[in-house]
Amino acid sequence: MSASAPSDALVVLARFGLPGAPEHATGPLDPPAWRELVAIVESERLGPLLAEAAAAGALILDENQREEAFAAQERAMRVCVLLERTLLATAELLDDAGISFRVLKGPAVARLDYPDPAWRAFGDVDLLVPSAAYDETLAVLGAAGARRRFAEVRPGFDRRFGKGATLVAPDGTQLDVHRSFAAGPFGIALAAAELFAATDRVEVGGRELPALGRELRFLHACYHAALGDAVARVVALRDVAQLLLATPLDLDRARSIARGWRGEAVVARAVCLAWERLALEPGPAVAWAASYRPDRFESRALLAYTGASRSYATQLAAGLRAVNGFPAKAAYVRALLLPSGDYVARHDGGYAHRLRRAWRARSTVRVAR
Amino acid sequence: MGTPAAIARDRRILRSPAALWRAGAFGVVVLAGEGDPVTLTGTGRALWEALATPIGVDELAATLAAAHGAPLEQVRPDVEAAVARLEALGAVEAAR
Repeated sequence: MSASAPSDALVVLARFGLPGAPEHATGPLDPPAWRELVAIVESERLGPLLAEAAAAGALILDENQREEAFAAQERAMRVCVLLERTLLATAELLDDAGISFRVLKGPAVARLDYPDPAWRAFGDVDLLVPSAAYDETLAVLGAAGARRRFAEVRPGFDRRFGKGATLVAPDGTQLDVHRSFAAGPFGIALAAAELFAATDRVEVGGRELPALGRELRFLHACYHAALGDAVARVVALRDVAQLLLATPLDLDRARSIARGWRGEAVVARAVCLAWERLALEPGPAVAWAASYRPDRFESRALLAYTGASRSYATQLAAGLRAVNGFPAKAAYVRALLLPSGDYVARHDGGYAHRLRRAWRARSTVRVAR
Repeated sequence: MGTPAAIARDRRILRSPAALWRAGAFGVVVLAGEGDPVTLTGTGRALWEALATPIGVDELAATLAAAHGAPLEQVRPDVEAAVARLEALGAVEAAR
C-alpha cells in the first residue's frame, strides 16, 4: 500500500462519522507525512477526530501513530474538563448576579450535537449575554479576578456595537463574553435580542445550563466559520456540517432567521466552505448555498471579512452601514475617530494613525463595491 | 500517598453527577473537585462505565473479572484501590 498524503488524511478525519460522508480508509502515513498531519491536527484542535478515526480504522496508522493519536485526544479532553469546571464556576457567578446567559460553541455543541463529547475539543469558554447585561457581566467577572485582554474602542462601544470581549481568568483560562456573533456589519445587523428566543439545555457536571437553540447554534457555527478567520478553521467547518447532517436541524428556519439579520450570505458561504473543505457529497443544502446570490449589503459586508484588507479595523469601518439611525451612526463614527486612550495605546500608537487607518479601511471597502 | 481506605463491600456506589469526564480509546479522563484531571487507562474505562448505575464493589469486581477473563482475587484489590481513589477525588459517591 502506498503512503497517503497528509491532506487526504486530514479530510478523512475531519469528516469522520458524518452521515453520508465517504467511508474509504486512508493510510498509512510515512513519518514526514505523519508529523505534518499531527502539526495540523494540533493547531486545528482535531486530536479527538484523529483518535476516533484511527480507532475505527478509517485512518490506517502504525501502532506508534495510533498511540500518539490517542494521547492527543487525552490531552485535549483534559483541557476540556478543566474548561467545563471554569464554565460551571462562571455560570454560578452569573446566576448569583441574576444575569441570563447562553453557553456557546465548543462546550455546547460537543455535548448537544456530536455523537460523543469526546469527539469535539475546545480551547476556551464562550458565553453569550444580553447587551443590557454586558457591562455588568464584565464587572462581575472582573470582580472574580478575570482581566480583559483588549481594551474596547471606546467605553460602551462593545455593549452597543461590538461582538464581545476576551477575558483571562485567574487560572489562565480564556473566557469569551459575546454580545453578538461577529464584529463589523454582520454582527451589528444581527438582532442580538433574538439570540435568547430559543433555548436548549446542556448538562455539564450534573447541572443543566442554557445554550442556544439548535438553529441558532447552527447560525453561530456559520458566522464563526465564514467570518471568524481569514482561513476558516476545520473544526468550525465540521460544526457546520455536523449540525446540518447529523442533527434534525430545520435549515429553512435557520435561513429565515439569517435573512432577518441580513446574513443569509454568511450561511451560504459557511456551507460552501464546509462542503469544499470536507469534500462532502452534494446535497440540497450545498446546492442552495452554491446558487445563493448575496444582495448589495451582503456583498459589501463580506468584503470586510474575506477581502485582502481583512482586519478588525476594516470590519469596524464597514460596520457603519449596518448601524441604524443617525444618532447611532454619529456615536459609531465618533468612537472610530476618537477611540479611548487605552485602545489607541494598545492598537495604533496614535490618534492620527487611527484616524487615517479607519478611513483608509472604509475607503478600501467602498472602492471594492 | 497513603493506602486507600477500605471500601465497604455491601455499599452501592456510582459516578458522581458532578464529575466531568470524557472517554476514548486512551481511557477516561475524570475531573472532580478542585484537583487536576486523572486518566483511567486499561480496565479503568470499563470500571467507569460500570459505575454509570449503582453497583457494589464485589459486583463491580466480578463484572470486570468476567469481562476480562481474569481471576476475581486478582481483580478485586485493583478495583478497591481504583474506587477508593475515585471516591477521594469526589468522582464516585454512595448510591442513595
